[in-house]
Order: sequence, then C-alpha cells, then structure tokens
Amino acid sequence: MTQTTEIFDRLRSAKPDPSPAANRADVWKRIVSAPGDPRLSPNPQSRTARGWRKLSRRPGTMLACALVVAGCGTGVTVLTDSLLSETPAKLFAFAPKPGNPLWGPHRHLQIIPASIRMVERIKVPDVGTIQYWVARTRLGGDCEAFRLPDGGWAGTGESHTYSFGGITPTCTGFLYTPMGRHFAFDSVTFGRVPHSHTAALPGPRQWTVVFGTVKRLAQATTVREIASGASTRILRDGYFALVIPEHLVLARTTPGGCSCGRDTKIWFPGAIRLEALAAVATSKTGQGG
Amino acid sequence: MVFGHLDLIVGYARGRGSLDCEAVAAEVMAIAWRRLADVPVDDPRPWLIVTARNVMYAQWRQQRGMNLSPDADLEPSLVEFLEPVVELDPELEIALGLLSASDREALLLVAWEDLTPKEAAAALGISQTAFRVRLHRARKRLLRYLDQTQNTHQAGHRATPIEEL
Repeated sequence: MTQTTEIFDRLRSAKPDPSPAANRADVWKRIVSAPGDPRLSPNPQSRTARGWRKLSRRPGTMLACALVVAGCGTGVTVLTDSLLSETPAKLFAFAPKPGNPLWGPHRHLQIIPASIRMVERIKVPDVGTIQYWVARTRLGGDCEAFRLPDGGWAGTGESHTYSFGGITPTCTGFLYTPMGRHFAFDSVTFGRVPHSHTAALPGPRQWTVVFGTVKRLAQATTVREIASGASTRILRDGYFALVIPEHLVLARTTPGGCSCGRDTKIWFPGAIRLEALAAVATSKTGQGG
Repeated sequence: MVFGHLDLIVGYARGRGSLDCEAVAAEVMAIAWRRLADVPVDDPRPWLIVTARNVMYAQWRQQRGMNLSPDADLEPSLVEFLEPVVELDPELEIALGLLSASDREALLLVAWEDLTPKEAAAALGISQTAFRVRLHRARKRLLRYLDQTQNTHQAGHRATPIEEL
C-alpha cells in the first residue's frame, strides 16, 4: 500500500459520523417550520440553535419540499415565494436581533413596513453595484442590509461570488450597539456609531464601505473620510455610504500579532476618521479625535 | 436531488467545527431551495459545500464581531476560520493542526467529502491544476508531520502540546 493510500485511509477512518437517519426529520423541521413553531425547540446544548433564522412556511413550499424528499427530482416546480430573503421586506421581516443578524425574530423589534427602502446604489470598483437597504423599527431603531451584485444578501451566505464582511443584515433597535471601534467621529453629529464592510471579489483589490446616519441634517450635506479624502453626500433621513480604498485606511501588519500565531492586520484605533461637512464648508461641523 | 446531500453537509459542518451542524445544514438547504436555479444539476455538492462554508463564515464573523478587542480586526480567508473539532487520534490531530488551513481543507474535501479533484477545486474556487498541486503538497506535509510525531513518541519524549509547536 502506498503512502498516499495509507494517509487517505487514515483520514477517512477519522471521518465524523454522518447524521443518523432519525436526525434528518429534525433538520427538515427546522427548514420548514414557521416562527414560533413548537417543533423548532432550541437545543439547549447548542450555542447557535436558538440563534438561527426561522423560516416562513407556506403550503406550496411544503408540498414542493415534500416532492423533493419523495425523490421526484427535477420534476419539482420551483416556487417564487421563497423561504428566505427574496425581497427586502422578507429579509427585515425576520427582525434580526440587535447586533446579531443571524438570530431569529426579537419580540421587541417591529419593522415599519413602509420604512423599508433602498437608500442608494453604491458603485464599488472591481465589484459592481451594491444596493444599500434600510428600514426603521417602531422603537426608533435602524435596520440595514446590503444586496450584492449577484442578488445575494451580504452576511447570509447566499453569495458565492462576493466577499462582503460585516454585521448586516442587522437592526439596532432601541439599544445602542457599541460597534465600530475603528472609527473616530463626533457622536453629536453622527446619529450612531458607523459600521463598515469590506467588499471584494476574489482578487487583489478590496474596498471598505462605511455607512451610517448623520443627525444634524440642517448643517451637514457631505460626509468625508479624512485619511482618504473620500466623500459622499448625505441622503434622505441622514443615511450615507462611503467607499474607501482599503489600502488607504491606516493599518499595519504585525507578525504574530494575535493569539492565532499568524501575521495579521491590526487596525489603528480611529483609523477611519469621519466628519460631516456643510454645503458651504467654512467650518467643520464635526470631527472625531 | 439537493436534499439527498443533507448528510454530506451535516458531516461537513461537523467536521469543520460547527457547534450546530444541523442548523448549518438547514440554512444551506433553505438557500439552495431559494436559489435552485443556480444549483448545478449534474453535481450540487461543490455548490452546497461553498454555501455551507459561507454560512459558517458568516456565523463566525458575527460571533467574533460581538467580542472584538479594541485593536484587532481579523479578516481571515474563507477557509482559515475552519477548525476540525472531531476526535482524532492524537498523532493525526497534531499533524493536521500543523498544516495550513488551505492544505487541511484540500485533504479533507477528498478524504471526508469524497470529492474528486475537479469537484474539490470547484468547491475552493481554484483551478484543477492548482488544486492538484495543493493536494500533493498537503499530503507530503502531512506525511512528514506524521513521521515527526511518530518518531517523537517512539523516542520516548514527552508529547509536545499543540500550543508549543
């Protein structure tokens, strides 16, 4: 037996046991159950079971899925009324918990349907056009999500083409979410802590998308990032989304700079410095530091 | 049939350290159902594995986002966050741990998910040639690490903890 055969035999012998047939029914229930369905009881031994999104159930979907299980294969009709996030309304209807978009509905977060809208189409070089969607909650919070050029929603695992890391889809609800440690900004001018994503195709160039809200609309019309000089206009209701070349954001590489033992990027605190500018910029309305 | 690969996805998630592999599998199947037109008809396994990895990566990022230290923001690749959490024999566990995440994933896709080089290359988003080279090197490295580990044990030395390697 060659060494190649031996090594693969040894690996195969260590392969995790496949899911027992009895568990398939449990997995199936999690796919098709509705929010609040008593069948979807959280596994107390699992850290993530209660956090996973519960999916809408519709009779047509149940029938189609049953056909798949029965082995009808390619004869199954694909339903347009999808399980997950075909439309932004459905995405926000799951009312993600503050700061944890993959968890299920939170009873305190109620999305205002009329508030769901696309704020802007953001052009990211080398990537394409990304849609910036927002919604408001009845308790005055903000929800945000990004739809990638291939139709997948960022942060859901749907896109196979684009890397777009970050915490969206998310809702901040009525709680102040202490994110954005790498930002310097005036908390009076900016409604809340901005967020950022890194948008990239598999390739050498990456871009940072900084987004958030500005409160003092009467004075501010533009948001500018000081290090890169990039700026963008403030949109209706104070939303903004700014694209910054990632290499212009201050950073350094520290060999073994974390417990993972690998070279890693360490972002300087305050690396992304935002200011809101008035239309006639005789003075800065807000500057972090 | 997409749902027929449920065991594959559950096993993949379990073998890559997911604490709720059934939730991952459920999410993957739901995504596959929603985007059925995008799922390859001939062999959906690479597509499902990529989706599973993306789902686990998104989960990993969210969990880390809640616990970011003030001065660090790691941006690993889509394989670097994967850590096999299964009971392996100690020598194999040490040797696998010494491999890079890319090498480890290449080996496991073939050994655990039974993918051909063509299918595994598709799952990793690289060319078949690149995958074959990666697999060849990974196998050689694993053999070398296993020999080193076995020689250490045979010489009667104290087993070196993974953290000290």
